[in-house]
Amino acid sequence: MEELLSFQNLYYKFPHSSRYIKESGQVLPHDFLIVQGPSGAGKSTLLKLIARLIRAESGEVFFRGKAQEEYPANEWRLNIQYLAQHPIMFTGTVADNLLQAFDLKMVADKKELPPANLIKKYLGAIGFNEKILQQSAKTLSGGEKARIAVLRAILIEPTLLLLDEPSAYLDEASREKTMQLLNDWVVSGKRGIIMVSHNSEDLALIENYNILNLLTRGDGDGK
Amino acid sequence: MESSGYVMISNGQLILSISLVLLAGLVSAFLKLGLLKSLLWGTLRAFIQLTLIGYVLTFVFNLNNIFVVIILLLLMAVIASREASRRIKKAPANPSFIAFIALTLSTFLVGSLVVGIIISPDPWYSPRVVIPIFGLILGNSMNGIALSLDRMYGEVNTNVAEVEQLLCLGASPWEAVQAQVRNAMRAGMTPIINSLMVVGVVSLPGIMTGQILAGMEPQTAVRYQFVILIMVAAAAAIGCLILIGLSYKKMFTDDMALVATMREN
Repeated sequence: MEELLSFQNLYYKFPHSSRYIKESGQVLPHDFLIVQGPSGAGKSTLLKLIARLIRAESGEVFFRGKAQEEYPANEWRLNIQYLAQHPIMFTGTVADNLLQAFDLKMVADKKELPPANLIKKYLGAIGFNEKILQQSAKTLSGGEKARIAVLRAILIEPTLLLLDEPSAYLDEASREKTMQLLNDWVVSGKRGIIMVSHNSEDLALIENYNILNLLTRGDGDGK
Repeated sequence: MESSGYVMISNGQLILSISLVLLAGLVSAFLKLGLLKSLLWGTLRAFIQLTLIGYVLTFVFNLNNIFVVIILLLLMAVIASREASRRIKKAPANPSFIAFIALTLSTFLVGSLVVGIIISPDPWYSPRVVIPIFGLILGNSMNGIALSLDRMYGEVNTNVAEVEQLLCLGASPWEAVQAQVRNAMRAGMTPIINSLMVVGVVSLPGIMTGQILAGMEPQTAVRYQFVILIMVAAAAAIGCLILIGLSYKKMFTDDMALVATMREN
């Protein structure tokens, strides 16, 4: 099967350090690519490189067979949704946050607002009821924010999600629900997820995955 | 109106004013503040600088030449923009050229309107009117644009995660820094708006004080002061807008991502 996304010899040198990343990998439809490795190996940086938030010094990333330069950066990022480890909530209600993207010009032009019953269904799947929609997003707990951030990303209907330890802030029950939702999401369409995860329990709930092990390259002299 | 009603200061009186500095110096020496030397040096410098600028202004006023006026105004704008950009930390690119463009455009726009339509001196470029007016606008909008640009870079730098989250949600660079730009504009304009609030109640501005001392009727001096305050506020607003409009893009790469200097702490 043709891969959704592949990266070849993606090279990035960390500033003020001799450490660097040089990685290749690919994501197939309906698949997870699990990124593992010691801290400081550049797992988060790899995701940011793929999301084009940081520029790689060399190497190529292809999405559906086309090089990243062929896509405008904002379109690329909308299709390949990066989610930072620390969830970001903006001023406003949870509903405002979930639909934040649809206020932006490009998204408003290209995408339809997600129907209310879909939002309700997803909220239920990760252990919330509709009441949370009216709550102020900044007052949520870390674990709540993390799940709302995942939901916000899914509602945009990207092709790929880049998740940086999505279960870092979650207790066991919410982690199971969130992983289940992510697995169902990937299996039910031509979608894929690249996920940084240290947690073997995360993997227990995922049907199809490959593992990419990052090594510390350079002399690892700290930052 | 008595046009010759202004109060002259004789040489003797000028020297008498220095005794005030000596009094301050005495206090400094008594309290061991260690300020005596810089106080005297400051007094000497102020005296020499003001004397010199007095001669320069007299010379330029007598020349009454439009080119000399324009060159002098541009020189003032260059100095003001360098001073403004010197105060800006965390800039992704040297902001002094952009600051010069913003200051010059806003100052010439507002200044020409005020001089041309409201004051309308003869000739229209009369240095006696143009130089002090433009100088006032420059000095005030310089502070405003320095504050706003510094604020914009500072806010983006401390909110990298928010800006990048918006970029990931499909925001254009402009959309991604909206909140920071709004705060920056506010920071640049707030001092001037505050001064509009308290003028005449808490403070009597220097221009008005000067004109009243020079024998002008208070009602007339007040009109001048009002025009000047409004013009300074307008110039600061326009200057901030131009500056931020020209410089927000410098925070982004051609790939619509934040440049490295903005991401680093």
